[in-house]
Amino acid sequence: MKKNIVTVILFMLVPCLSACQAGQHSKSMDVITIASTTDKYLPDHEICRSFSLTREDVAIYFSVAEEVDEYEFNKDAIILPCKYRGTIDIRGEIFHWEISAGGAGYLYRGKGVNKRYLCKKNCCAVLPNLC
Amino acid sequence: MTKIEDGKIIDPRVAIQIHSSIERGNIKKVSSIVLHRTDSTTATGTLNAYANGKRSGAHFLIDKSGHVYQTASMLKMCWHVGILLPRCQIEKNCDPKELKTITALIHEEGLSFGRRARNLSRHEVSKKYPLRYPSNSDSIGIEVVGKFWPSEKSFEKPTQRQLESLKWLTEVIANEYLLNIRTDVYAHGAIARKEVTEGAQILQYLLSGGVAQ
Repeated sequence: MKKNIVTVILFMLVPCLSACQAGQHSKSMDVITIASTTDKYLPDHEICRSFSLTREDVAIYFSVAEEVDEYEFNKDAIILPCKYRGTIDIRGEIFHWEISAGGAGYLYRGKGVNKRYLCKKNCCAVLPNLC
Repeated sequence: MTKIEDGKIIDPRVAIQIHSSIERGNIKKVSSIVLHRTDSTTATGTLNAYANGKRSGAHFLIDKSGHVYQTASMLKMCWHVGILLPRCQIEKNCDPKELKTITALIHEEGLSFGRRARNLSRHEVSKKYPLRYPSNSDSIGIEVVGKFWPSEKSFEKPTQRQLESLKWLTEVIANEYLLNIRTDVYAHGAIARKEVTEGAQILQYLLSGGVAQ
């Protein structure tokens, strides 16, 4: 019984801790611009009407999403027609960013910086719509 | 003289480097070829991932010098396709009942976008090729090394040697499995939930002999 209660409490705490951690990290980020885009070549692009991300969501995403290598991104990324794009200031450096509704994200500056992200465990806890 | 023995291409142009970790059971029938890009600048990362026991991958890998690696037997399935797009909806030839099912799956409330795409893909996989796009169970995957640039939404232009090797390799596989290069070879980005440009340049080369700048 006692063990079950501890498990439940821990289970409830994980998303809270992720959110707190995300909040702290996202303070060092400033989402400068944000715009939604839809790749209308796909017939199911209509689902994009219900996809929304706020500036705060974007900052949280880049705090809790996992940076992955090319192999893992190539294998696991789900690229949907619904995306948000923009620019972000991370500790004084400006990057372009993109997040797909499937939870895959890019952070890039021309061809110089080119990072890939996936929404995994911690990210899913605070941004479940991206999982 | 090129030979195929036990699912392997025996030819001086092909280095056999089978990684059993990416072989996922037997293929019953090869119906198609799927063209991929690695999103990397060299073959090393992909080969290292396979060597380290990663479970997803494709049967072949072509590096920038045009060198062909066979990384899985063509008798075996590889997990290389991912989340399938609904073919009849894209090609606008679904019957009304099927279109209703597809629409319901992708609009299902209370599920994340990724979950809905996975559910729809599972529904697609239950169909027989060519009613759906190729799946892991009936296709050979070819990876061509090349980086994706998000700023340009495009992949690095393949080298001439890569294109020549790809053409040769595709013809060898098509001859072996009696495939039609015009109808049975697909760009990954056109059939799965990936960047739409993945594989498009190299398929264009196979079909027309040229690559857009």
